[in-house]
Amino acid sequence: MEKKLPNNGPEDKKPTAPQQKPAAKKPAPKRPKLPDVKDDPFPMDSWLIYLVSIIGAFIFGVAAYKEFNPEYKKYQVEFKRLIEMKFGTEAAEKVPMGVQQIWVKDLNRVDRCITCHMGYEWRGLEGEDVPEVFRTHPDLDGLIAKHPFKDYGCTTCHGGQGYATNMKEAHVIQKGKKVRWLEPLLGKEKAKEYKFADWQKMPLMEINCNTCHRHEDSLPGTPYINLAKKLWNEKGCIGCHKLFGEGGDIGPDLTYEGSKSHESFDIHAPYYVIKNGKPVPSGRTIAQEMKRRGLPLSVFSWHLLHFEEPRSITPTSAMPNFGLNEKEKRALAMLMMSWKRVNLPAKYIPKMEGRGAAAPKVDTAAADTTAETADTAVADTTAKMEETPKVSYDPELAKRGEELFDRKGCTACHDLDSRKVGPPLRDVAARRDHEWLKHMIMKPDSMILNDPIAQELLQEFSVPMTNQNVSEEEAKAIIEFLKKAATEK
Amino acid sequence: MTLKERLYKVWRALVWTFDPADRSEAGKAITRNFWLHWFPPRMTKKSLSWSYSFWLGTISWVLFVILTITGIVLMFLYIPSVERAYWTIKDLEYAVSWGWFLRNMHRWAAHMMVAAVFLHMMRVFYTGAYKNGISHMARREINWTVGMILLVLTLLLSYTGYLLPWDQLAYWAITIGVKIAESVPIIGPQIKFIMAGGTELGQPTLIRFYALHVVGLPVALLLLFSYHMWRIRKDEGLAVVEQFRLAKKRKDLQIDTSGDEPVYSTPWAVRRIVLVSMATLVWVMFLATFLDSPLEEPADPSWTPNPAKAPWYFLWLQELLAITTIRTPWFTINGGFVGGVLIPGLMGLAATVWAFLDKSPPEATGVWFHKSRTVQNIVFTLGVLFIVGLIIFAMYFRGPNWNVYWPWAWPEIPEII
Ligand code: HEM
Repeated sequence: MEKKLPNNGPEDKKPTAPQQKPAAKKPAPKRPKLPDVKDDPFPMDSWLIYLVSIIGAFIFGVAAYKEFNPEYKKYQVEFKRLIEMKFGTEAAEKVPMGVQQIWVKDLNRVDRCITCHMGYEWRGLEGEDVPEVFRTHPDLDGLIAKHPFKDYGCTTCHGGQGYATNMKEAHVIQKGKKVRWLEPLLGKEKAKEYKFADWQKMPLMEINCNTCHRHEDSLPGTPYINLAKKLWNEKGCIGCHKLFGEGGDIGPDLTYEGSKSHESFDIHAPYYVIKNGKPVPSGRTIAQEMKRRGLPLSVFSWHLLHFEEPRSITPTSAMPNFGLNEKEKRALAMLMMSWKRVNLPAKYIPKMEGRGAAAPKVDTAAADTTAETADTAVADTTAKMEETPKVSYDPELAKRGEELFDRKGCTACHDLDSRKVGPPLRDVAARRDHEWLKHMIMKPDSMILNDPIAQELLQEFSVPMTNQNVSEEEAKAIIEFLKKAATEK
Repeated sequence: MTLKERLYKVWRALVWTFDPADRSEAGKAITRNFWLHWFPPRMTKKSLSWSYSFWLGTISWVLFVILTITGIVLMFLYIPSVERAYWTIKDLEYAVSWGWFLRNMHRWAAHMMVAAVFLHMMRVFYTGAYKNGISHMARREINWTVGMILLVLTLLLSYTGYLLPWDQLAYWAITIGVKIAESVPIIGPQIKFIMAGGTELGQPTLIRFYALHVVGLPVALLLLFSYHMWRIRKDEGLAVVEQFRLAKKRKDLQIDTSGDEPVYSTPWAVRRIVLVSMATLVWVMFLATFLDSPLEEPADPSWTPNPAKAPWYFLWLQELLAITTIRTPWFTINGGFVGGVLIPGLMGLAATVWAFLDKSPPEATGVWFHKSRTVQNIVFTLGVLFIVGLIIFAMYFRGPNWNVYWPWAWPEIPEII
């Protein structure tokens, strides 16, 4: 074979150089003899290429299968069959295939939920016989007329990951591999996790209602949020917490409480129980306490525990235990979660009748009158003080007062003998007269606006005392307790 | 000419004889082919063997090609804007045909390339392949230095790409990188300013990283890689051939000359390159099919994930930074400088100049673990273990607040609702 080769390869030229003597100085033995081009030095390689090709084709096949058989396909096929059964072939022809979405440009939302939930606006699929995924959206003529799909999409109200086209990620199901998405689906499953008795109604969705409707006093269809707003006003939360720049400074600003990062809640801190009015470590962490109660580890659960007893989370908290029941705790937790930072285009801002919990009214007229009344008020109180020389008290009532002193949360700021947030109260009954004390206990907010002593105290302690909703009898009992304390030096 | 012959001629003009009939055709198939002309017509069998080079350089190059092709397609789908970037990635994941596959391929090939280039460097070190043997032409230490720059370029490519999804993972990992750069004494703040295009990470950072990622760095890598290959020819082949040169001169060394045979580049070397390329591609496809790329919440400068971790290949720097930050009442050690700049800088510098200082004998060129290089191999291995150990430690044992946890005892982070 070699002999037939034309002599034009570069390696063939050198040995035939003319001036060389033939045979005398042959370079051939020094060079290794060149092999035949057809001799395969790596006989395995071709086989390996076949093998890799087969493996590659197989893997590509698997990838293609994944690409062409998405999870939603089986829903779409099933939906088409349902429509065919109910409304005939012609209607079934109109059922679209492939990824479906509602794009709400103004709200920056792309909701692909309707890729599977295909019946959402088909009338006639309301019945219980229709599988839930395909059922018509309820209240098309009421709620949906006000919140059309094309302007709101799905996730604005329901939560969930609109972009996703598979169930686990769309519904943000946190089992197994975590879904990294900040808006959980506020559906029945979630409500069941928190053991809501009315989970069928998807109560947690009220959170999203209030994200836009936060400035309304009440809204039909949101019983929890309405209750929470009522509590907010009754309990005087604004005395310690700011909303949009108004309110007290004792507690944190709550304007955007719902946007606080979940990572900033330390659920591995110790959980405290209250023994003899004092928080003592329970030996469990907050997370362990949540687990013990069957609550999911979440910010929402954190709020539930915190509303039950603030000092069980932060032992030094000045926030009182308001003795809330289960429903009230949930309502308030939902209110907190709803206070999110959102950027609403103007046309999405709800029209309002009244200003709500979120925008407290400040009585400026009252503040203006203080200057005039100041002098007389001072004269008044000093005069009355001289009239109460000796302290005597009713032991029965004082006992009840002692209880109230703790339960109403006074202890959060006041100690009998040492200065805390507020002044020590051991001999306050000797310092101040009965009427003044009663007013200060019942309506500290208006006292701060009108009474010079209260104002002076505010100057000194810089933290305004909050209205704890103490009734007149309760105030009397607390005063009796304070009188008793004055005698027990 | 019949049509068939004419078509055959066109075909031959466009490609090359893949099945050469003789030696001359085998030679022309290389020299006349644009893609192959930088190969010699024949190569030494040993330098094409699996066990000498593990083909890691070629694998790195194939990964780069895969990255370029998938990257060009991604450029049609990705928008480098802080408002839109994240959502275009979500669309790739859920709505674009084959988008998930494309993104996975690009991501896994990128991680693989960092690993492959590093392993290639290790191979070159352990085989003493930056040495010149008895060749008068070779200057392989230059190629070693070029390689070092290629390694840095690969890391930078991967790092700039890491930011592009603009999710929490990306944003905070890059923040850490920028912080490390900031801790360089004197010019640190300027470096940070140049990297971020401002005082904090935002649109100017994204567009800088994007431009570098899709144009600047790949072009630099391509040019330097061409030089890398050109040098191999100037250096008269891979270092293993020095063994055979030496074997002829010094019979006393009793060098094993098996594999000292010429092999025609076409078709045999080309076929092996095709095999390696296909295997690499299939492996990347395998990863892309079964392993999903991470995508966390959209980037939010107002909340830092705890802990925020750098990309894995920079984790060792982050760990070094943490353990070299020492505060005592008497003195403070700036970990950012010591751990982030000084130690890695010295390590890189030492590795680079060593190729010029290594005085081991010529017979240590192009063989695995030559006994005359045992000490330096051990030192090098310790350096590698140091880096790999720190990476593993920081990846699996560092939890919130950079505290040490067992991987299975990581404190849970609460969900929202
Ligand atoms: C983008 C990165 C790189 C690519 C694509 C690349 C590619 C290659 C290729 C294809 C080879 C032929 C031999 C083989 O496949 O092993 C090679 C050889 C070589 N590479 Fe690289 N390389 C890269 C990075 C590096 C690095 C990081 C170093 C060392 C610091 C390095 C140093 C060398 C040296 C010294 C040789 C000659 C080896 C010998 O003679 O045996 N290269 N490179």
